[in-house]
Amino acid sequence: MIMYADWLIWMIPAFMAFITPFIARKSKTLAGALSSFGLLLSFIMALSMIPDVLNGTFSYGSEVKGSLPYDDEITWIDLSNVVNLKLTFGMLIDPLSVFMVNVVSFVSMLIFIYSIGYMHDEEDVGRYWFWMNTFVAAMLLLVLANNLIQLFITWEIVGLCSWALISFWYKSQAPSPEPGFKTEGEYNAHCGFKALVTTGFADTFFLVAILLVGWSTLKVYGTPIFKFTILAQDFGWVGELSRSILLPIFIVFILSGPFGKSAQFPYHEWLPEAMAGPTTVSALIHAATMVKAGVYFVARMFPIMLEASKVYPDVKLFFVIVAFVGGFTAFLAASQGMVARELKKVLAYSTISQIGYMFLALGIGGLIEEHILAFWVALFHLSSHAVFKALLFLSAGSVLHSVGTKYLDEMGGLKKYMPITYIAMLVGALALSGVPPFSGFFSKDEIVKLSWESGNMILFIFAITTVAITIFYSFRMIGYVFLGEESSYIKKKIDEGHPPHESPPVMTIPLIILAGISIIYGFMGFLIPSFLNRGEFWVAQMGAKVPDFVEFLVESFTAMTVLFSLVFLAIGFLPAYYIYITWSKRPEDIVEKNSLLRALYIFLKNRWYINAFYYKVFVNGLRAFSSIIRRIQTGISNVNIAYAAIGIIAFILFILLL
Amino acid sequence: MPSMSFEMYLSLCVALYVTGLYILIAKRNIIKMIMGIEIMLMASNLLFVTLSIFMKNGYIDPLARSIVIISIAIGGAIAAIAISLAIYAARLFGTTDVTKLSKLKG
Repeated sequence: MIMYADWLIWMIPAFMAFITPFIARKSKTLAGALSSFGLLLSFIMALSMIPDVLNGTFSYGSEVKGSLPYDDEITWIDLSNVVNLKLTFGMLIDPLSVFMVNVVSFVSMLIFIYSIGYMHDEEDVGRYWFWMNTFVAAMLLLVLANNLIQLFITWEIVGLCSWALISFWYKSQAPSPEPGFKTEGEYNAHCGFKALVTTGFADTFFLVAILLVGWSTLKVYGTPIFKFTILAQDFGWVGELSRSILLPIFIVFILSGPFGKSAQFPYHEWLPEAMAGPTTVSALIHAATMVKAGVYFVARMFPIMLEASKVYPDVKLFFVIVAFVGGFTAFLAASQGMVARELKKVLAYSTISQIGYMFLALGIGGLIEEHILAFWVALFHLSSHAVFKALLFLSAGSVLHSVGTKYLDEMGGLKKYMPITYIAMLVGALALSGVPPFSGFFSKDEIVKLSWESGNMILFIFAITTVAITIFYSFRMIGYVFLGEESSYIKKKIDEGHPPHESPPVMTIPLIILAGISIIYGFMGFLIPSFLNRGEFWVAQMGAKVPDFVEFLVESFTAMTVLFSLVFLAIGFLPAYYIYITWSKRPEDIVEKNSLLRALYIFLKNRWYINAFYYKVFVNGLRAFSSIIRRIQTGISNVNIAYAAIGIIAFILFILLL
Repeated sequence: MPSMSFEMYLSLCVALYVTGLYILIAKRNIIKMIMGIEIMLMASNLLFVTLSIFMKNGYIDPLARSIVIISIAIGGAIAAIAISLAIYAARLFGTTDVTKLSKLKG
């Protein structure tokens, strides 16, 4: 590792965050180039950590400092004089964190380069680069965090950045896409707040769970411990929780945070609205940062919970919840993706669905014997999803940039105007739907196989039907955007002399790189287990077998579930082919004729009525409640003084009676 | 020794304090409220002086008295600021009624 690479990797984007707003006043391109250069340096730092993992040592240059996992930490808060509390601030270097920083910094770097072109005509570019850099810095710090408190703080910074970036266009004066808002800008601000409030609501429980860890470790060891490496060594704290009735509460609460951040049921409703931001922001949120944080955290807790479940079987609940919520969300979101009208919303639903797959794999990992297999499959899918989802979003950005509308039915026939984007998006769609031999096939098929091996038919049905739905909406999207006839909107634009055009090279080159990786990445899947198995403190006990390349390929293609997958891919593809690729019939006509399909369409279009339900209960309920208690706030100082006097008297009485 | 007993001084303090509080809660005129604040201030000053005399027999604590002198000076400053604010509020809203000093709805 380069000297201090584990610190510099997040300090460089953090530093860029502070200087780019000033530079952007002089030159927008320079600000973007500097940010991208900073992330290139971060990516080099991340790459330099790989030899450390391969050697199983932590080293600065050639100086070896210890073996992995290594806590490179400083004292942060030292209250040992007063109470027995000492918090450290440190970087945990182990295969999982090194894997994550590589994925995050690489994908973010390509998104940053693309942003130079995409955000070129925007105002407030300084603000954009400030939040983008902070976002990536916080995410890198999050995956490197070696204790729960540090993780929670960065977790919240990531949430704050997502709020600022989703509502980036809050000044827009265009008419609102949804009823109930005056302008589009107001709607965008609402979407940002929805993300912040939903994840914040989930994070409240998450914080309680973290404090429960502190409480139980305080009882067992006499001092609160939040460090992952120490929590994983001894499970007395889990025993303390399971002796009281707190263990199920702890498990539900600690999963609340990742479910909120990764947009899993029941917190999934913020993510489709998060599409209000610029496309690059969506790409960053969906591919590299934010939603991956939840998967990362569950993967981080996975070995701890797994070892604990051997001592205390009640901990299995953790994996059961993860598996069922993941499987159900994969199905739920995919079904809504079939009817989305906006290009980016299709991708948003597919993200929720794919993240659900990752949780499904992690959850099954705790329930079957081959734990380690499930663990690396989840991370394999995380990385391949990061690549093809970034590819899809950036291609979608290229389309939106060129046609100026976000609705699918206002596009069509763009294939001949934007050939590079078409090829890139097609590769992304094939990878997303898991068609062999693209990267999604390898990672997703392993998950389907795992769900089969788990022996739970419900999980398997969720996984396999989602395969069919995924390919359907992927090709629906491709058909709407690139194939068929040009819509009247596009024709009007051509008549006006603004035909759709291919994007500049600064935008297409990242697309080509990502498309290339999407094609070859699946074959590299066999490297991931051998990478993740090094230096992990818990792998040695598993005695896991690491497959080589040939074994990996043979296993991937000959598993019994591949047949299922191919059948379901065909089931999903055929209707998509007849409706959206040949365009022999308008989809509206088919839905109109069949009353069952129409009912299903309305049900899915309304997002299973979950969103409406949340608005009714939480938004309107809170409003009604606050309109009642609002009467206390008269704004008259006499009344306020009376309240204060009553409060003081009550307090004195309380003290006297105590 | 003072002619009144400790309890009498104490009740006088409480009476003054409650009077001030009553004025603050019940009176709408901003000038009257300032007077209420001043009365409450004087009640606490009187309490300090009383305690300085009665806490130890035959000995008067000089620290408490010096604090009271500072407190009186600060009380004067508070009154000055409060009255100047009251004047500006009266100019802006055209009234000294605190219930009308509101720009927000409701």
